Amino acid sequence: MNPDLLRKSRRTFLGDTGMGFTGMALSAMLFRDGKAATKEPVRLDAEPHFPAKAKSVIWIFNIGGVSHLESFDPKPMLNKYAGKTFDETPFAGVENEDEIKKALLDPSKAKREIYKTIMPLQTGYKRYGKSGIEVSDWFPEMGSMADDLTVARGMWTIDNNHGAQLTYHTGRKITEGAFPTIGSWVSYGLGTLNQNLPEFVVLGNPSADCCGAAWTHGASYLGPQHAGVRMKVDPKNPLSFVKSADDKLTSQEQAENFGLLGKLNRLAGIDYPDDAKLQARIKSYELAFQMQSAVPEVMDLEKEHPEIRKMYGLEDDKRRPFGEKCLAARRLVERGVRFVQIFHGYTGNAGAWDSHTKIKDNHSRLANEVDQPVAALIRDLKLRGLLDDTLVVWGSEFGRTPGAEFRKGKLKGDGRDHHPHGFNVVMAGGGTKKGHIYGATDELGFHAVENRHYVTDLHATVLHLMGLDPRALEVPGRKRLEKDFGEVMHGVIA
Amino acid sequence: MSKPVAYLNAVSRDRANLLLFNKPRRRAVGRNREFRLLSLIVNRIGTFAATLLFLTTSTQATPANKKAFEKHFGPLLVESQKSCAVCHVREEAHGAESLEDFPHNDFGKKIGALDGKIADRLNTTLQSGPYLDNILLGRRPTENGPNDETLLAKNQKRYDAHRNRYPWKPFEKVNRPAPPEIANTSWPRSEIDRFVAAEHERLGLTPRPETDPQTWLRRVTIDLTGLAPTPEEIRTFTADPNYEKKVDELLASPRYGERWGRHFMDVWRYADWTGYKDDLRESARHIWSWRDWIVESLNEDKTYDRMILEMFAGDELWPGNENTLRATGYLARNFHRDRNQWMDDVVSHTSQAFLGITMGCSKCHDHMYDPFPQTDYYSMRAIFEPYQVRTDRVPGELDVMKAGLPRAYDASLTAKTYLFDRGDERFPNKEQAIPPAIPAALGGDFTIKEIPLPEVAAKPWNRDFVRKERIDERTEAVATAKKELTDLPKDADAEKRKELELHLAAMQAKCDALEAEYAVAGEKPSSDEWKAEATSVFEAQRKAAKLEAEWKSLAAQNKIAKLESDLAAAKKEKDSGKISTMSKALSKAKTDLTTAKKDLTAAEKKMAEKVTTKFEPTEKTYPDKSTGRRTAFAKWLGSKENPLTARVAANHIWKRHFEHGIVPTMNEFGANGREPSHPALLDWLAAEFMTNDWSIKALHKEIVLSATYRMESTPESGNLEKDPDNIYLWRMPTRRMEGEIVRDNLLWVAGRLDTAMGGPDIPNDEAQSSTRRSIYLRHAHEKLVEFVQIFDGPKVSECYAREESIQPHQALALHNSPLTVAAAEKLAEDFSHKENDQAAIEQAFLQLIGRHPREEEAQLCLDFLGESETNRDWQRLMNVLLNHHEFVTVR
Repeated sequence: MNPDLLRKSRRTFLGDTGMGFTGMALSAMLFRDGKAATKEPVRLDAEPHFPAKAKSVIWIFNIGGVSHLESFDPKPMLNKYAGKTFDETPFAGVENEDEIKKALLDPSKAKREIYKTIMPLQTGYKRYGKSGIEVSDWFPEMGSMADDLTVARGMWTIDNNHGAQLTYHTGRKITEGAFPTIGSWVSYGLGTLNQNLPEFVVLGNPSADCCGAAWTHGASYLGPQHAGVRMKVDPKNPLSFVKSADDKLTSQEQAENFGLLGKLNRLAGIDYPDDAKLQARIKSYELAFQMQSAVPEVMDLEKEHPEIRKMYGLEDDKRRPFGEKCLAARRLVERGVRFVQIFHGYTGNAGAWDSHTKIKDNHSRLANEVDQPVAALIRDLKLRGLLDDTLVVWGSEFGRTPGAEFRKGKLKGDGRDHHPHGFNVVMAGGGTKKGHIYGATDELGFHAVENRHYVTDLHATVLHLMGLDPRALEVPGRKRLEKDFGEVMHGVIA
Repeated sequence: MSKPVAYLNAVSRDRANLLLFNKPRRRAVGRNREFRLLSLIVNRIGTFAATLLFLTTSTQATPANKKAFEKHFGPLLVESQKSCAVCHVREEAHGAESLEDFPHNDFGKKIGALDGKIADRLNTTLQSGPYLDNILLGRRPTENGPNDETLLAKNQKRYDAHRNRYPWKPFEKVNRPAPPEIANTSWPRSEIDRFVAAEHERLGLTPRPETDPQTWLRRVTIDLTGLAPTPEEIRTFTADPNYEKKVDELLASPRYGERWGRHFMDVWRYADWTGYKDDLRESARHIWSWRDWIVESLNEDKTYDRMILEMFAGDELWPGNENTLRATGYLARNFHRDRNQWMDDVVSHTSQAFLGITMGCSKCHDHMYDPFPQTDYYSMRAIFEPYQVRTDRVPGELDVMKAGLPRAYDASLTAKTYLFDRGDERFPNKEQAIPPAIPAALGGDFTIKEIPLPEVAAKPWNRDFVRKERIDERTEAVATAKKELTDLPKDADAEKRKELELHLAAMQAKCDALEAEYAVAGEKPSSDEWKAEATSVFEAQRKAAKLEAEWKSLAAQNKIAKLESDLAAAKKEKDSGKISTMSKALSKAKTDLTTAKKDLTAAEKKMAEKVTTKFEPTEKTYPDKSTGRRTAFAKWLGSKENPLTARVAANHIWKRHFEHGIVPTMNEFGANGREPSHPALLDWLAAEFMTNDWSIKALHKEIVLSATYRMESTPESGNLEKDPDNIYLWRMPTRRMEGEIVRDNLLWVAGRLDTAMGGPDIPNDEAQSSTRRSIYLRHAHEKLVEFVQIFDGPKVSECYAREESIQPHQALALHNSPLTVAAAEKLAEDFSHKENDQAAIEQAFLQLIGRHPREEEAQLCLDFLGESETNRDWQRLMNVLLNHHEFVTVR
């Protein structure tokens, strides 16, 4: 059942949506099924459950799997034992295949070979700032912001293929189908701070359909109105069909059109009080009307000071595409958008970061595209005083293996395979600790061993920082599993 | 450093937590041969044994865990039992490989003590003690405790239901299930309804009442033709609601093929060609001929098995029939300039689209879920390995870049397929070629017989019209050359005259050579006549080549002379623009001269050679045989023995009437797919489909006349609580039109739709001005119709199921687009002149959203028009109605 409906009685639905006429079909609507609303509203308002630390989230997702070993989780042992197999090191047996089989939940997945020949780190590390957080040389700009970051090194997930992209956003396996994503929960739980823009915006091409398609920014049973709204960052054409082909149509007239449409649609809903699609459509028109002026404004990056543009890397062809998205994200949260989800590395299949071969070339190139823009985003938010209530989360579906990926010895092992057993996520702002390392993998970076957290724990943390208790977001008629709720990672919270 | 232990504990803890994730999944389909043998026994013992056999015979046996119990006992245990330590405590379980290894507790010992198959032993053990009851109560089998009789009874019921559930075996031949017995016998109209009703009764759902004829009419009309019913049709039908007659009428409409053509184009990955200028990257030029074949085939209710034969092997089975050859556009569309990618696309998409299996997974390794070893992928590839794509000429156009028929043919009768080590094409195993074969796990007959092809297939250039057009072309060239010479002023330069004389001679010689070449084509090879003719061709060709080279050489010289003098003049004038252009032209002329001279030398050398019969054909001759591999495959695919073809097709058809497939994963019927909601119904539909000789129209008819399809889509709170997603169809789902259909109806309801059918693809950037149906618009990589894409349009690479989003962009597209504005203008013309506003609004509602307005709605519209209503007010009102939720919605 459409959960929003249950949050309000049908009467308030009508009232809220501006249907002032008394008598009119209201009775028909309320008593069609012989009774009024079937359940008490779960939540009558969109206030946080407790004081929020974060107002907005910028959720950056790197498609394909970033090597934790060459980003924020240095493992000198990989250099020390480079070329040796696990068994030739003091960490023999670290992989423990039995445990992996069980943890992955899916016996067939265990068929994936575990590469045991250690590949040395493909880049160096430096310590940054007062906190001395070590960041790889591929991410020097993010390193320069180390004292504002929390690095969670103990993440793990359940799918060792790219279905994990879906898992990262919903906590579920791809075989289970679509479930609400973290962004949709925020939208559902909090609503918007700006009526002119969607509360949940998606920038960049989402991960490929083989791994979930709209599922990584969808709302599933929360209803289509809570799904991410895709927006392009194209200063020349920020919004398709933004102007009516009818040149004579004034804004006032268009508003009247939309006003009539809203009334007619609400009337049409009398027979379908549970129709989430209708509700979403009504909302989409209201939003669309506002977006016609709001989106060109927010996407007009030319308005930014040249120094700011430069800071985001907009003068560099390689960094510009992602830099524009980061800058747009700042402008969006500035205007009250709750959740901005940015994708990097769309390829139409597994994702650009998926470096089974040539990880050095691949990761250094991709890191160059994202490093400066992400650092600029954090710095910019900080300078504007927005970082305190904006949470930035940077991650990918899993990490990459300590072992080099060999293909029957015929190939030079210069890549790393998928690695769901331990990886990292970087956070900044929004009430997280500054210059903090939380959790750890073992000495080879194989298993998360300290402050281990499943991906839904990250969701729980995001919701917690936004003042929401996932358990209080229970949706009638929808059974949520214990693990869906996750556990708040209190160790990252300041 | 000591061996890290911390993570072990941590992992164990998480593992226990993770078990909560373990949602019911499809019962495992056998993954090896051993299993297949054992499954014979399983059939008798039931699901229960299947689970255990799976566990014990799998090469990757896992300890008896919660999953096994879940498969055996059903979902109730997921709720009540929290770990795999249900019967095996963790320490004892360590290192165990299967149930056989669990003699650690009373329950395990009991199992171990018995003889016979493990399944029998487990069954016997469960029956011998309180074990089953304990498990049903959510305890370890050997645990003691008070019995909650209510819970026990409840779970016993669920357990029985689980064990008695319909055996869904998608990889086994379709057997027509008997429709279940149901209590509410007055509801069903079709056998379909009995399957649906059985689930209603099982779950306590009440089907919604039959919807009014008007709503059904709009639903079925849009479903079958993609276009809303006209007010006239609505009035006629509601006055005399003859459902069956209506369905026949709709299925007979040419609009039906256009509607369902697009659905099949999704599944079969229709895409117009991608590339730039001469460079073809993907699909094929003029692939629209395949689109037209799809539309026509559906309209004539060509049987699905026949369609399969034509698409996969039209060139082998009907090589002389150009209409049928269009069908092989399916294969032509898969063209990719990277041959390995091309072959991969054919294998993985053919297996997904027609069989609902993900053979692509077996490219690098044995399939992780289904019984398809890695070699299966390459065996399937071997079926397609010989084929290539060519463009045959069509009458009226010799240049195949401009028009033509893209079609498949076997270019090699001996093409070999090698297994790639881990799917990596750099490492083919050349020691052993993989022969063509079908996946053994699916069974069935696959017999390859080489097929001789008629001349028309081998020598497409020898078709009458091609011969005529080619010779005409040469004859015209002669005439043109003659005219140029005649027209040359008498006082013209002698060199120029010589050039034109040579040109005429060369054109005549080329014409003679072509005629000679066609003459030899009519003779029996190696006969004396043939030898004589072939010798003439040889001579005619070398003569033509020499003359042509002489002419070109002289032409270039003349051009150079002229350009040099012009250039000198330009230099005097210091006209830099002219200087640059002429210098370039001069340089080109010099290159031409070099080439011509080279050709001339070669031609002269040839002239000195001995005359033979080895002339150089000007056109390619193709093999006069085909491997027959694709015919064998198509016969197997379209056979009634094939377990998947009918199921997958029926599921696709069902989905497009009811929003969700019975198997929700349209392209994945294997173990990694999701459970069907109505497995017996899908089997029945598949059987029915085949019984009706694979008639798609018959299947539609059965579906849309059913009580299920006639239900209202209105909600009911009791049902909503039990089945919020309407998985069990207690109401008709509400759907939004696909992007193409939104666009089509914007044209249609305003009377602007051009119903012309077929023909070349219309450029995608004309989508807002064209009034043709959307199916005829270009659909290619980076050449997509934006309006359609905004409404969740299909991807080029694949689209087995469309998703439905609701985005503000759709609102803007629908309100602001030129198409909507034009429609509103046209409608305003029609309505603003009516005498009676009330009646006009009534008519507008009927025309645009297929129903009469409620009083309040009509009043709102009247108020909007106001006292001083103008055409413009009407235009705006029409725009509003075109944006009405119900305009894009099918209730």
